[in-house]
Amino acid sequence: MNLTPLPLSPHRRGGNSAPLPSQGGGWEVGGTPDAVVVGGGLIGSSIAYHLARAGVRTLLIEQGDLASGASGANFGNVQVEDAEFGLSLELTLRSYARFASLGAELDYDVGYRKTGNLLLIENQHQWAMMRQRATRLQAAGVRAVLLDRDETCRLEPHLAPEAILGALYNPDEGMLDPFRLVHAYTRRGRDAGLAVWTHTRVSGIVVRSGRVAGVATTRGSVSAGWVILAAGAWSRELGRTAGLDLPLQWVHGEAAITGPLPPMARNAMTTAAFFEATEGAGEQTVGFCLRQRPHGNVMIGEAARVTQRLSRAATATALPAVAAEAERWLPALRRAAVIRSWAIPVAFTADSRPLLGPVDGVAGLLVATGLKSTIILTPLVGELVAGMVTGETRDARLVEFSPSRMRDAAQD
Amino acid sequence: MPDLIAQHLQAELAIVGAGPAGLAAAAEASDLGVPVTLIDIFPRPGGQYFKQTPPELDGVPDGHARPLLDRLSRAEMEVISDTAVWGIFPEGEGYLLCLYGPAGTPRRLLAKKVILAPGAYDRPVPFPGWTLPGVMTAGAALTLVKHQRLLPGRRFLLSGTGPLQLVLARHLLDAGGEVAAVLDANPFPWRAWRHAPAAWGQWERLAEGWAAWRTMRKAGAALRWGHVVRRAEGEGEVARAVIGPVGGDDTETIAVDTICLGHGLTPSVHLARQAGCEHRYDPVQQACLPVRDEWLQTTLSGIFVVGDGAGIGGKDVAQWEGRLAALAAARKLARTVAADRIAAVRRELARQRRFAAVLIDLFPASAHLGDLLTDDTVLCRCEEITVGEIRRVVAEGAETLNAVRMVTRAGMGRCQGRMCGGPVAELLARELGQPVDALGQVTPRPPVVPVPLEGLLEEEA
Amino acid sequence: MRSSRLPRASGSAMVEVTVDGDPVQAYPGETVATVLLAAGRRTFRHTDHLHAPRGLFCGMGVCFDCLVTVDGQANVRACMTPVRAGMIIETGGSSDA
Repeated sequence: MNLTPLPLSPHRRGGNSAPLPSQGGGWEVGGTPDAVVVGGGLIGSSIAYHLARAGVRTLLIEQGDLASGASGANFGNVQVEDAEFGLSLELTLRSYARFASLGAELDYDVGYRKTGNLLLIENQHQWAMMRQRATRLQAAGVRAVLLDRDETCRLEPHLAPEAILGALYNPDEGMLDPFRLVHAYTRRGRDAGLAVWTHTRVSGIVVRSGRVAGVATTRGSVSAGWVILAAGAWSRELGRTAGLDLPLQWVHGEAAITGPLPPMARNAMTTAAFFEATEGAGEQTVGFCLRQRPHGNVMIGEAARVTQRLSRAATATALPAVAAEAERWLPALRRAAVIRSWAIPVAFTADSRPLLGPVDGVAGLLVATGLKSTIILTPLVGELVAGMVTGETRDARLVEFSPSRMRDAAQD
Repeated sequence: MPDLIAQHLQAELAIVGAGPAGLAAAAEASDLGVPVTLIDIFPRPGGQYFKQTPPELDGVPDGHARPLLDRLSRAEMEVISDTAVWGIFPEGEGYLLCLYGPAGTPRRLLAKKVILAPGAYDRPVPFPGWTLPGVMTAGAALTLVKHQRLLPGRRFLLSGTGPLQLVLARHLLDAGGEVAAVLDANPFPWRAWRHAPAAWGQWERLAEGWAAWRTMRKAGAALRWGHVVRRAEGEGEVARAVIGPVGGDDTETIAVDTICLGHGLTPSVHLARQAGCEHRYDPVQQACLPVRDEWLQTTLSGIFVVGDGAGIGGKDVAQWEGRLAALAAARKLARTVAADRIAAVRRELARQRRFAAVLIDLFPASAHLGDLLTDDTVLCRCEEITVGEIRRVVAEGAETLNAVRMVTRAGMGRCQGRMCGGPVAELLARELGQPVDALGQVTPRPPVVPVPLEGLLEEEA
Repeated sequence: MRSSRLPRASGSAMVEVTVDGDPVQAYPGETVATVLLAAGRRTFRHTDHLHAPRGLFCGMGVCFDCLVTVDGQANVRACMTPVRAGMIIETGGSSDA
């Protein structure tokens, strides 16, 4: 395609400092990228890396700091157990296979290790659901096994026995540091020519005659033949600028972390109640999840409220609610000092499947958001989306994840 | 005694911090008939400037503090001590304060207006070996010798800037300690004569400084201008200090067992920032300060910040700011405030600010102290992140405070970035050739002090 | 002994605490940090990563370096904790002990 190249605006920060040379990408000066990735989180940084690696001139634009959206609130779980069956699970497993060598590929220690994961079962309904899940996961080759209360408490002695009936256990699940993963993707991407703009807001996606022409940003306009929208919850308002009504919702999610503690939880833990979650009409609910980090800090969460607002503000009710739940499951945490919390919009879709792929009616626009278990999918999603640009991705089944799939369905 | 019954304790005016600013604000508000709830983190009111020595340790109430402390026993004053405010949230027309204290302390306080007087703490200035036991802040040493009746070492080196170092030296000498040297990183204050008018009336301060100077001369303790400690050495604790001129290469090693760092103070801003009050970097103070109007109100209506927590000015500026904010809060609470009282308070505040500005002008935090850092210097004490690790992450593309923090975890420890926030910002500014205010800000999140899990609950178990 | 108590005018009775199992005398009103320093102990703990010795630094509860275990509760700031008769103080630990 022949687009008139627009010079990229020189970098300005703070409004009162001299322009700095822009970071990365020798093509940048006086040229235009082939692709703009909007959103510097787990998905955006992986896509940008894979594009750069494939020789596509790419600019990654992030409104804040890299990983400052939901990616920064991520507990770091590399998780298979909660994948939706069917194509999602298949892709999850394919993506998971890359993790063993991801650190070497990115030449960066992202803190990846296998620790195991427990989906904690509280009632008979959850038990029945997890038993079904175990069967289907096993059939797909996943080492998911149902444990009773005693077995679960043997695995995690600090769990309150009275709180659980058992758990769905997968020993192969792991953890990593999401900040380091994003940093690793962008660092490696820069080596391959990726340009990165942080603290730059994309105000609109420019569409002309049914094809994407570029983006408007606080640093000026950027022309590009491809725009990939990987902006998490912010994808919805950005999609509107391109005339899209993406079926994306989000919760205002809040979680917290303690100071360093002695080892007390080897596995990641999540309540199976997430599988029976119904969308409350805006009231705050808590879905218990927990993960102890390598230095010993224990992350606990998650208070969530479905909302139309995009906010990072902490609420007065979230911390007590998260604390009460954590204490119920792990009474040993009672006196643990909580040192930090965070609040962020976390995107989801009504059918728990991602918005992934091209958009009907706008050529050159790709969407990649609404993933359920993000970290584990980053390698494959990066590869698939880069492949949509280069033409290598040809899996027709991906239409299941089309961002346009719910266009005619009623929205809340 | 705190009200033990109401969980959602209510107050017209909540004052956080019982140092000179908070005490003066409480007194002024109470004079106008506004009932006050005063919350303070220490077991006894007074903050740092008016810290009370425990009576069992020969504690005698400070003459200046006495009248303000006596006011606290008035009926309309409620004092909640030993209690932290870990978060502030907008609630209706006022604010919800989340509290954590000993058993029986209320957990929540709903206040119409809030005056924050959180004070300040010693500015951390890292250098190789600064984490060794035996290296402590000047404030720590002063607290020990004055309020705990303990001489915390035998042979001391004081390094920092400003007249407070002389005051500390005098206390240490009077207590029988040996002071090897007092190093002031700034050059001799030749300019001081220009500030003579501002010093008029500050007799007590000048007298204190003079007495300290004489004590040092008698003891033969050297005062060396333009010098700083470059390195602390020892086997498990301080045994030697390597000192030298600021911005120079010469070094000299002296045997000491205690190094006291007195590089001035830095405001305590976590709570006001968590509440959402806008803060801006001030290059003169070299700190982020709350944006305030002429009534000392922040960008959040009904929240005021006074005293050192809004910019270092000392205990007298603190008191007059406290009074001014109390007058403003009282007016907002529909009390009648006499115009000439307002004028008198403003006048006195301006006078005290003039003197405080002199000290900032003569004894700024030195820009050259970043030269002291080596790659193996620990910058984040809590997470043990070194200067070298931060430099590496910057070379890999991190270009904001937040980015450095997220990847290295500097600032994610128990002290919640209080020790390393300033030093990391200064290091980043040097590495990137950028002013500090171009590096973004890290917003403190609740709880702004570590709180046990069960302490976050709205009701005590 | 590096640190030394200054002479007291009032004859306040001392109380007994234990420091790492040993009985130590303390004055009411003193903090755990003061008692440790007076007993010749400057290293209160070792860090998790580099096992570096740490003790009192800021003296006012801000730096979280002076952490000791008091009556079984880990990571207590010595400088902010007044002593009580019978208090059990343990030093030298780290968070992931």
